[in-house]
Parts: sequence; structure tokens; C-alpha cells
Amino acid sequence: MKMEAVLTGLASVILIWFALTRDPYAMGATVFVATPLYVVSGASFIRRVVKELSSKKVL
Amino acid sequence: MTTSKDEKSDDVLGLSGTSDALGNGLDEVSPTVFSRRDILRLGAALGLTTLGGGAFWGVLEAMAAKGPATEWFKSVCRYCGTGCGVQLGMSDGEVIEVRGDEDAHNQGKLCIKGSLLTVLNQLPGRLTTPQIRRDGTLRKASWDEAMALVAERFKQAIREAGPSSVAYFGSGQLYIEESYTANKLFKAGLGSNNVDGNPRLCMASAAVGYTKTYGKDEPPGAFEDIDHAEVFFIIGANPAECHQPVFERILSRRRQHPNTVIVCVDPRRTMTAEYADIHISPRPGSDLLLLWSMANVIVHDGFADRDFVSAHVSMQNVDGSAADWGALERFLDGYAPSKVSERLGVPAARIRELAQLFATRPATMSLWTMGLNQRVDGVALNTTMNALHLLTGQIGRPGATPLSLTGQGNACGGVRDTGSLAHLLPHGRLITNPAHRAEMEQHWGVPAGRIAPTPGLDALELFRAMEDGRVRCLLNVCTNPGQSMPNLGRYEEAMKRAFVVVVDAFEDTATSRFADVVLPAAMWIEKEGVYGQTERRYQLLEKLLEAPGEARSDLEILVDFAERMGLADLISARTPAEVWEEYRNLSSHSKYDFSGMTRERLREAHGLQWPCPTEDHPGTARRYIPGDPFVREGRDIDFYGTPDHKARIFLTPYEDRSDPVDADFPLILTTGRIVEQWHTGTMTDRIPEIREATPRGHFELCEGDAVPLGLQDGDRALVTSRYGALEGPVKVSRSPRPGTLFAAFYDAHWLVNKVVTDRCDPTSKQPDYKTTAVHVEKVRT
Amino acid sequence: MSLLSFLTAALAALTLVGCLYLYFHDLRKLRPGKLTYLGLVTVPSLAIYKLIGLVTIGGLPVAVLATANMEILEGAKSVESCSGCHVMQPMVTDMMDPTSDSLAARHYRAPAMQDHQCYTCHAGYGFGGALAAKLEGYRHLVRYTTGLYTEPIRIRSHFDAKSCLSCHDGTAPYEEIRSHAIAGERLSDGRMSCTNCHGMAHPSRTQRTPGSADYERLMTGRVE
Repeated sequence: MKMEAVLTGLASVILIWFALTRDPYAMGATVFVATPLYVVSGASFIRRVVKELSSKKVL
Repeated sequence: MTTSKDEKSDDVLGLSGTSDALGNGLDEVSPTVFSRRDILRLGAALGLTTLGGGAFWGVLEAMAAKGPATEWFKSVCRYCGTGCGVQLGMSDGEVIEVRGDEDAHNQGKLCIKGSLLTVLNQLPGRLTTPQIRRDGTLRKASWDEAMALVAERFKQAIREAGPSSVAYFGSGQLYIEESYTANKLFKAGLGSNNVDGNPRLCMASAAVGYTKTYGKDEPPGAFEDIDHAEVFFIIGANPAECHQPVFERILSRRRQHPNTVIVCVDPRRTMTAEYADIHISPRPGSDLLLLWSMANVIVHDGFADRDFVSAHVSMQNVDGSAADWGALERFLDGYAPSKVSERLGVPAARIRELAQLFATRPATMSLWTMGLNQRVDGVALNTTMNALHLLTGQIGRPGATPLSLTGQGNACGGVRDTGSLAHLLPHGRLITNPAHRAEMEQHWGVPAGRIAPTPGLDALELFRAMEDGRVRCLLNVCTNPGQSMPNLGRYEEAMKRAFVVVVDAFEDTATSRFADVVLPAAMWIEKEGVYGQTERRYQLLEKLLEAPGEARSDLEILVDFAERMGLADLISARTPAEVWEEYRNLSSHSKYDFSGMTRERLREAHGLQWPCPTEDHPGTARRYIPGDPFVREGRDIDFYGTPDHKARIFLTPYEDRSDPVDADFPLILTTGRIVEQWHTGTMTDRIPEIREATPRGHFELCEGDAVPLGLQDGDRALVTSRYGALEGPVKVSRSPRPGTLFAAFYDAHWLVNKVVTDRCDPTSKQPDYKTTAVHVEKVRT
Repeated sequence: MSLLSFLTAALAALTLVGCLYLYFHDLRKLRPGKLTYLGLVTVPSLAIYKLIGLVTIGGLPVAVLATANMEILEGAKSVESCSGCHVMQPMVTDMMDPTSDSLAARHYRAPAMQDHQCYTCHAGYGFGGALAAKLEGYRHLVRYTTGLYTEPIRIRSHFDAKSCLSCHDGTAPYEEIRSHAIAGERLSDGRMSCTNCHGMAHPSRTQRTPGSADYERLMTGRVE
């Protein structure tokens, strides 16, 4: 899960930046960079889970 | 580590430890090092991220609401003399939005009429073809037919009875190019000085007042002075309704400088009076007493600026002889507050208060309009109003100025400045002055003697001449005398008798019922031209729409008429731009000089104020002081319009020549306006929202007058004067002064001008719409 | 720092910690069968790893984004936050100028508006407001941060007159003036603006154009 960790970690850094500074650029990064990062990362994670569960014939 | 796939395990969480911890096929050696595959996957994920973010943004952009207008154009409002700059939003060839122009003098503000400019060109009832009256009915005709008939009748009249048997009655709502052309065509072409117009009914006294005082017409100051004044002396005007953005600016000034005082002098408690700090209600017709009484206090209590007067002002007795300070004092003796207070209906202490405010505050600005102009002593009121500024030195400084507010959007630029009145020639020249006639004959390239030496007929005289047949043919353009002439009943007969050509945008106006020929005209932005408003600001309106049907611009119609009258050589400028070139160059020979206002500059600028003699001159906000190109070197004030460079005060005594109040006609009728309706309502009363929201024509009385007459709100009354009678609904309100009635004249089905007197100022010939003696009785149903 | 900001930072930090764990934890140590003792229960170490993965990648981000967006939407109501973007500086300077007579300045001085003065008129992007207003706000965010705008900025569509009417409609001065009845529907659907008669709310576009005489003064006003 390293890739997801990297993506989510990057996004989280942006969020911390925003939460501490409230700077408009941080706000922009939050909405348009961090959010997609979280989403892509989460989606990838879900894909893995589905893959593992289907390989065990659970799904 | 190898993965092992246990096909049949129910070990979902991998408790047995046989799955790959969601690596789904990890094959790396060290858990923290990225393999090429991982990097690829990371890259793909980042790419997806970017795509996702971009897609979200794309959706937002697509969803962003856009206003319906795709292009915006700078223009000017069609209506009043404030001359607001507007921005018109168009889409698909239609005007769908209007906003005040933020960068124009009105600072983005309009009134409700201006805000509804969007519907103006789509109003129903537009004339689309010429019409000729046959057997009593107006029938559709071709341009050729109609114009041929007009030319034939005009030529016949001139042939049989001379050029003074034909006349032109124009408008302060036509473009400068149009009025200029009509004036030239009649005076220098046909040899008829019978060129007059509706500004005679609204601004003549102000024009004469300024000309007598400074030697030149048009205000010395500008709207910008509002930002500097500390006292606003508003008299005979209701700008809260009739010049709203001007009044907004005054209110704004007071908000920012709470020491500012707004004085409103008006018999009626108008909306302006409601906002004012001080409201003075003089008896109608007596306010010249107020002005002279204030002068009395100013002079006797030492508030006058003697130095200013001796350096820059000359005084004249009523017989024309020079008056000195002693003569002034003796004259003013008769106007001491205690002596006039009762006749005026204002306490003496109030008069003193006003005088003190006016004279001693750092900057006093007076504003007036019809209340002073539409009066039998209109000229005296105007010259005396100016005199107060001259006596106190409240002039020639920011915020200190006498500003006559103009009623129509182009009475200044179009009619006063072009000289399109019976006694004038362009730029302040007079018909009666041989040198002026010779100059214009030369400029216009016509033989000496072509311009007739006697002034033509002013509005009232013109209609009287139509009544007795001296004037046979009338070209009536962009105005509605069939509703707006005072003593209307009499002049209806006049219009019936003459051959009347009505050029208008709308059918079925109160004037078209007298038309022998009707010609359809383009309106507002369906044609290009220049408007000149209150403060000497000329602004260009570009053509943005096509006129409906076969309607043509008034300029085209005049040019066609000129051709048919054999004057094609004289009227050689045929487009607005060509006329402007000719007229602009003409101005360089006078103190109006605006030759620096090229069409291109006007296109870019938010209007320019003349004088503006060169193309790099920024225009002149305040005249007679440095900045005005005609002010002599080294002077800080120079009234260059008069031979001795001094402004003039006229000691004109008060005479009560208003329509007399007596036992038979004990009350006074005043006519006026409301903000939502423009003049005779030919435009605004066709706008459904306005028509539905405004009451139909009615008389307003205060309760003190209504009760003794047995009148209640909603009853009908018959109002009779020496001139006519009219029945109408009654509204009881707090605003009329006891002893007076108020009525607006926008309702075409209720012609209140039938009751109004046609007494006029003997010098300016402007009728008195403000004081008609009437008798009121309840109509028993 | 507001509560929401604090929460966002805390949750994001937690997420970051989880990510670091996920990245650096040696998976070789998670060999099948390895168990972890947690006092009362014994669970496979792998399970813990997967659980942390679920929380960190799947759970916490949702919470973080929720608090962050609430912070954006609610926190953006304050005048201070509006003035964070420099293109807003002229509006804020003018609004706080006690000598200005613009609509914004006059309302700022009004007793009825003690705080959130920008948001009171430009309402809708708060949590309870219209979705369209929020989305428009996000669009402004991108334009600003990417620099895809020119000064002076201009509103593309209409300012919603409801913002004015929500306070002024129904009051005596509003009802008494006939022009308001005439304006009527045109105000509601944006064909006419209250500013048509009542003047500019903010400094004009010309004043906000770089290079104009007022630009310097408007840009360097300080927000308290």
C-alpha cells in the first residue's frame, strides 16, 4: 500500500498547511489537489480490497 | 516472499498470514523501495489526480452563471437633463440590460425611468409608415407621397404668404445635429425665423436669466460642485423625484459632511422637502419677495461681499440706468423681512436664517428648475437668484455656484446652444443683431440678407398665429404640444386650422389627432447623435438598433425635406458625423468653442464639458475661472461674456402678475411631474409596469381645502379656471400647500393643461404653468 | 485558530502518521502467523496493518475533508478571510473607510451589521447556503490561485437582489416608494439591480484597474 500511503500522505501535508495558514493558495490546493489525491488514493485502496476479497471468493 | 493463493480459504483478513497485506502482488525486495512498477503506478495515480482536479474545475467553469448580455455599450439616458451615462447590455441585437455607467458623472446611478430603458425600443404603438389624413382619417402612405405633399404645401404657403407663414416647432429631445439642421434650414434656407420648440416652455427664462447676468447662456458650474457645497439652496425644484441621481449626490454629500444644510423652497411638501433640513413654503407666485428679502438681510446685516461686487459686478435699475450701492440699498428697503413676511407666507426669522446660511457658509450652491422658470416673472426670478450669488461672492469656487437644472435631456445642447429658438442664432447670437446675422450668413454661405431681421414667433405667438391663419404650415418634431401647451383648448383650435406635419416615434399622441401628415421617426439609440445636458456636457449616443418599419431618423427626414425645398446645397451635411464636423467648427468662432470635441473623443469619453477648444483640452467644469480657456491671464475670475467683464444684477421689482386669485377663482393650481412618468407619458405611460403603478390623472388637495368643499379621497371634482375646465378624481394628501392644488400632466386621457393659464414672462415668453387661479367644486354623482 | 482549523490539522496529522506507518512498516515482519498481543486480545499483526490502512486511506480523509470544507465555507464568512485574496483589498479598504459613501461602506457602518459584513450581502456560500454559490466560490478559488484573472475583476452574471431584499423588503421606506413596486419582478430575476438607482456597492472597475489614481490607495489599505 505504499502508493496509497504516499498519495494520502502528500494530501495530508497540504491539509495541515491549509489548517495552519488559511492561505488562499493552500485553500486552492486543498480543494483541487488534496481532494483528488485522497479520492484517487481511496479508490485505489478499495480496488485492492475488492481484488483480494474476490480472489478469496468472498465477493 | 512469495505469495500464496489459497483458493478455498475463508481467511478474509488474512489471519492465517497467507495473503499479501493488500499488496496484491508485491514483488519487491525491500518494502520501502519503489520499483519501476510502483513508480509507474504512482505516476498513473498522480495523473488521474490531475485529471480529476481539472475535471472538477472544468465543471465549475461550465456551470458559472453568465449574465445574458454578451456585449456592453456606453450610451446616455433618453429622458431628463441629468443626462446619466448608461451601459447597455445587448445580446442578439436586443438591449436586455441597463446599468448606470460607473465612470460617468452620475457614478452608476439612474432612476426608475433609466432603469427601464431596456423596454423603450420595443414599446407598442410605434409608427412604422408615413400617414396622410384623408377624409378625416390618417391613412398609410409612402415616404415619397407624404414628403411630396409636405413640400408642396410648404412651398405654396411661402409663395402665397411669405416665409413667415411656415414654422418649425422642435424639441429639447432631438439630437444636436438635428436641431442645428432644422434651424439652419428654416432661418438661412427658407428665410423663416419661426423656429421654436418645447424648451420655450421649460428653459427660456433660465436662458434669458443667464444671458442677462453673464452675457452668456448656460450654467457657470457643474454637478461636481455638489461634492463641495455646504449649503444647498433648492428652490422651485424637486430633484428627489425629477433629477434623482443629482439628489442622490446631494444626499451623499450630506452623509459625508453632516454639517451640510439642504434648504428646500417649494409651496408643496415634495419628496425633496421631506429630505431637506429646512423646508420653506412660500405662497405660490411670491417667491421673488423671498429672494429680494434675503438680499435685504445680506446687504443690511453686512453679509455682502462688497469687494467682490465692486470688482466683478455691475447693477442696473429697471429702467436700464446704472445703479450704485446706494440705489441697491434703497431698492432693498422695500423688501425687509417684516414687510414681505405676510405676503410671502414665511416668518421673518426664517428669511433671516436663510440669508445668513446662504451668505456666510463656505460654499452655497443653488439649484432650481421649473418652479422659477415656468413663471410670469421667470426672468426676474432667474436674474435675482444669480444676484444672490453675486452679492455674496458665492460663485466661482468649488461648491459655490448657481446651477439651473435643465428639464430635458438636450434642451441645452440641442436648442439653446444651436440657437434653435425664434430670437436666436447659433452660439448666443441674436437675430436682431445685424453683425450676428451677417456672421451666420457668411458661415453658412448664404447671401447677405437671407436671414430675416426680425425674430420669429415664440411658442405661444406661434400657436396664436396658427389660430388666425398667419402661420399655415407647421413642422412639429419630437414634441407633443397637443398635450403640453398651456390653455390647451385654445391652441387645439390653432392646430386644427394649420397644416400640421407631425414627426414622431409613436402613433396616437395627443398631437397626432391634429396631424395632416404623420412621419415615423427613429427613437433614441435607433439613430446616432449628441446630447448636451445641464452642465454643458456633450455626450455621444451611438446607433445600436434599427428603427422599426420604415421609420427614419429625424435628420434624414429634415435632409429629405431640405432637398425637396431646393436647399440641398445649403444642407450639404447629411449624416450625424458630417453635421457634427460643420457645427463643431462653427463653434470655434464663439465662446461656446467646443471644436476640440471630435467624434472620436466623444466616443471614448464619458462626455466632455465645453468650452473645449482643442483636441487635447480636457473640457471645462467651471466657467469664468482659471481652467476656462477664455479667462484672461492672471485673473481668478473673469466674466468675459459681457463687454465690461462684469456680471450684472438687475433691480427688478416684484410685481404680482400671476393669474389673479379672487372670490371666483380662490385656489391656485400648480402642474408638475412625478419621477416615474416622463412629461406627457408618450413613452413611460406605455410601459406596463409604470402605467399600472402610477395613478391616472388627478387633482391633489390638502385636507384643509378638501373638507370645506365636501371632498374626500376618491371623489370627483370639477376644476375651472379662466381658461378651461376639467373634471377629475381627487386625492387628499399632506403635500399641497393650503390654498393650492397639484396635478401632473402625463395622462393623455386627462388633459389638465386645458385649465392652465397661458400668461407668460414678457421677456422670455415662457408660460406660467405653476400658478393658475381656479375654482373647485365637488361633482355630485 | 478556529476549532475547525484545529480539528482539520489534528486529523490530517493523524492521517500523516498513519501514512508514514503504512509506508515504512516492514512488511516482512508481517509474516503469516505473526500475532500481536494487545492486552486483552490477540490479533494477527497483519490485521492491524490492514485496519490502519483502512482508517488512514479510507476513513480519516473523509473526516479531514469534511472539517476542511466546513472551515472553508464557514470561515470564509469573516471579513478577514475575504481580504486574504489581494484582489479583494480595494473592496475591503473602501468598505472600512469611514469617509466612503459606497453601499458597502454605508452598510459596514450600519448597526444591523456587526460582523460578517461581506457575507451578509454576498450570502449563500456558507454551509446552509445555496450550492451554486459555493461552487462559484470554488471557481473563484481556482482562478485566483492559478492567476487566471485580470484586474479589475468583474462579476459575470448578476448580483442577486435577494441579498438586498432579504433585509429591505417589507420595510416602510421600501414599501412607500413606488419605483420599488415598478422594479418588482425585474429585481428578483436580475434584469434590474438595486445598484441601478442606489449606486455602486464597491469602488468602480476603473478605480480598481492597476495604474488608476485610486489603485494604490485602495490596495494598500490595511485590514484591522
